Amino acid sequence: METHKIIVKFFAETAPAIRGEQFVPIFHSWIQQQAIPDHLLIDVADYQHVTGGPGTVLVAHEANFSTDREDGKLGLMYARKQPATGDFFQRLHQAFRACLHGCARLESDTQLRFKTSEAIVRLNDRLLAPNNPETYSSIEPHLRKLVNQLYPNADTLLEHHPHPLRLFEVHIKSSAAPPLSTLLQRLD
Amino acid sequence: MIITWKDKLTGTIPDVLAKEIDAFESQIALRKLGKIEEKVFAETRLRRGAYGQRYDNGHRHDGQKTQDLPYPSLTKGPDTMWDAPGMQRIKIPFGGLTPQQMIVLAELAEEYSDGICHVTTRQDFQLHFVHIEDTPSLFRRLAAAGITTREACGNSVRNVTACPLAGVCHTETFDVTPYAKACAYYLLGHPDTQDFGRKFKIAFSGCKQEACALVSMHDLGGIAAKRTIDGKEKRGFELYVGGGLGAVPHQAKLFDEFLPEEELLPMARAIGRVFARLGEKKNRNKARLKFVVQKLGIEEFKRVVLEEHRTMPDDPSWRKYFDEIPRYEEKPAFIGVPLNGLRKPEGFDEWAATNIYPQRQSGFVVATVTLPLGDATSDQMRQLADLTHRYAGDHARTTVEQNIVLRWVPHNKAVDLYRELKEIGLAQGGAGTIVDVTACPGTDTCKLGIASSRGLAGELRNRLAEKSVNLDDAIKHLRIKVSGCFNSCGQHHVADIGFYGNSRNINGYTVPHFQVMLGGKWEDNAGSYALAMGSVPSKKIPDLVNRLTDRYVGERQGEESFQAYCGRIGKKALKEIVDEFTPVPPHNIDPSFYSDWGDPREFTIGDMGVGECAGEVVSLAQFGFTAAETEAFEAQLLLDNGQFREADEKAYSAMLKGAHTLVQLQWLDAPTDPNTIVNEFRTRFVETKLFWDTYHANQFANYLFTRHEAPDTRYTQDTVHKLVEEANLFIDAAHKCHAKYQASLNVLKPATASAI
Repeated sequence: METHKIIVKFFAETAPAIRGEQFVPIFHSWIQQQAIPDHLLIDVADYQHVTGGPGTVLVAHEANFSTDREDGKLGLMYARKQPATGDFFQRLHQAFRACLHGCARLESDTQLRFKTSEAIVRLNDRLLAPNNPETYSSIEPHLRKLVNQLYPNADTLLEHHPHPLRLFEVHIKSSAAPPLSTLLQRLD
Repeated sequence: MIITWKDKLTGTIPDVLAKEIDAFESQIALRKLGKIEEKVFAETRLRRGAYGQRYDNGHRHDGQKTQDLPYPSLTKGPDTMWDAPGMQRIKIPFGGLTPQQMIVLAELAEEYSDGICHVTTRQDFQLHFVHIEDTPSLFRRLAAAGITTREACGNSVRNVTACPLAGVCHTETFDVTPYAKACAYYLLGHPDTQDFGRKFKIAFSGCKQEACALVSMHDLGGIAAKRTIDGKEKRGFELYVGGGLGAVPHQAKLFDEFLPEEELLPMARAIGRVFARLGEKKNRNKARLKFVVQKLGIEEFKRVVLEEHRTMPDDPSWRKYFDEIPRYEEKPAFIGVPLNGLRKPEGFDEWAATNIYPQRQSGFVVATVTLPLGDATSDQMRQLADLTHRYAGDHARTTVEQNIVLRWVPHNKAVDLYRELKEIGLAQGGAGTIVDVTACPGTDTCKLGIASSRGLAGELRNRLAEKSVNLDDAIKHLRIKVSGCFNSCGQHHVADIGFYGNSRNINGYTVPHFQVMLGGKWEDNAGSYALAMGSVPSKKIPDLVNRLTDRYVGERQGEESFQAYCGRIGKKALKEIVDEFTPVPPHNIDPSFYSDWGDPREFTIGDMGVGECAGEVVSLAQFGFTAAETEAFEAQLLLDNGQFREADEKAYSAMLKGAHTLVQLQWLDAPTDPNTIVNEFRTRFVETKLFWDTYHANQFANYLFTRHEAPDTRYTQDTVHKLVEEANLFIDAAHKCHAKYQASLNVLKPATASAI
């Protein structure tokens, strides 16, 4: 799989007591501190006024981080835009790591808590990764390897639903819900 | 080998567009190699709609200090860092959209931008945070869907706009859609529109009294008109020229009370030629057509244009576009059926009161999909495409109020449409009312923005929506428009209540403010412009809006309009209302005044940049040489790929382009056939020894002559390699010749034909 445009989203636990606009100053403070390793943070775009949208977007040169609310489910979404180094597994690893890093940072800056037993992975590239069973077959071993690394000894499930218009997406579910710090350690 | 969009879409993109996009991709590569001057590349990308964004001068004020963003030193144009993601504008002539195009826009926003499709105040789309390396693929995918970004920015003919109700409106004289379309595509890339000193905006309205396409604020505008001539009814246009907003707004002047329809395209071309010839090229602040009209006076301007029209070289290509006009037809996909007492869901009536317009055609309605601040997610856009297909028979248009209208919806289906819009979060009412605040991007992304127009618009929208049910009818239909600076992209001059961003220094702090503009007229095609009433701190604007509307409701006489009210109570009284809101509390008392709406950073204008709206003034010759260099580069790629015959052709074409560019210095309308180019080049530049090298004499010219007269048809690696080298040397020599020629004319700027 050649694409570098990997999206990872971790969902927030139950509706948090945080208003959407509160993410704006938080993301600005991340820029002030250049808080995400290996990312040049450059801007904040606020789309709270759009239903089911990306919420507040922290724009980095390499990727976007957004407090995504698609289908009404708040979460932190990481969307890689610029090429990352390594093979597909390494790129997948990098995207998970960056997303989890953002989640951990949000947990420390807000009351928000993330559900670690569930995540989605998308390939934001209709050319190289059409949403069909063939794409799933080609990435499934890499994804399985990463999921095993994140959730050793847990039951895990990968769900893929082909769709002609929507991006390729796999829903990951795990019987375990380790803390974010544990997930990050397992990626080290 | 990795498949690319170029591979995948081969054969699906019109040849001309495919070549242009290939050329742009090569120009990106050349710029990366430092082989295209940054100013030239800047205008090249701008003419394809690729803008810089606010932070991409490499600096950004983070609320505490200005951070230097460590991008590489290479720029993609003056003060615009190469790697910084930018904005992509996408032209949608007359706002016309098909579901397939909506799906493509949704996909592009998702894959290259931030998942938001933004509709602009001129019926375009904009995607933000797009990397320049992604633009060729983006262009190809658009082109395959019948959309071009060409001339979406830069000193060119911008998107041609038209009334979104054209064809279904009750008061129109006739449907202007096919005329807008013909004008857009005839002038797109036309040689006579390539040497402007500034942008050129065109709009068409079907009737005079409505707002329609805001003709009065355009460089060129046509209002549909009919006349009976020799007993036969004839179509034409009441033609206006020289309108424009910006810092110095001008109402367009009447150029012709009735321009017959068949004269529209040739006259537009003649006006373009006059603008290219007489328009200011050095001072961009004086470079719009309005300044030419003002300088000459409308009568003299008209005389010059008519003379140009009479003497300009024939260009029969306009007929191709004109002949399409009678064939234009928008067919409903369903049968129009009235509501017939259908049971309506909660909220439908309120929504329908503002968002449904009964068409002239019985049983059909236009449904306005209100997009907050002009934004829709990719997912919403995809679902809207589906609704457009299922309810509107594929007929959708963007509007200058940053919404999307679905046309030809059978009235009885509007109820189900509303239900489905609600499911995707797009059933907000209030279209065209005070709640439907429009705004340009302002400080969110624009380099020129001074205050947060979107932040203010969002705040006003929220506050007004909360009380919209209880709003007095008198104020419900007022319009509020917000610009981030005086350049008027938010069209504040034509709003009842308009604002544009500025700032004031208060005790050493910079405080975001908005200039208050009152009494502009949206109707009558932007019939009159608002008056400036003074600057108010950004955070006080919502309170000011309350006060103004309360006063208007309380003091209104009969059915008095807001414009009439403003006129009656007078500027002094209005100023007194405004002045009440001007004080700014000290920073230690209320620091909230020192940041802007939607942006908690301490306010600064430190990260403003140089605007790109104006584009770069690049001479026709610079463009010509760039095109030649691009082809020479492509020839090298073809050679490397073993495509010798194609490489030979490309190298030859590159030399012809270089020679043609020189010939154009003396003969702007020089034909482009190879024989004429070579003959004219020989006569004008070789025999006169202008194209002469002290050490190599005519050697470089002979490269072209040899290839033209006796091409080597062996097409081997060696023969073609030699020709590619020769093409590069020829272009270098052409550059030198150009410089020498300029020096001989003793002018500072590269010459245009009009200057010679």
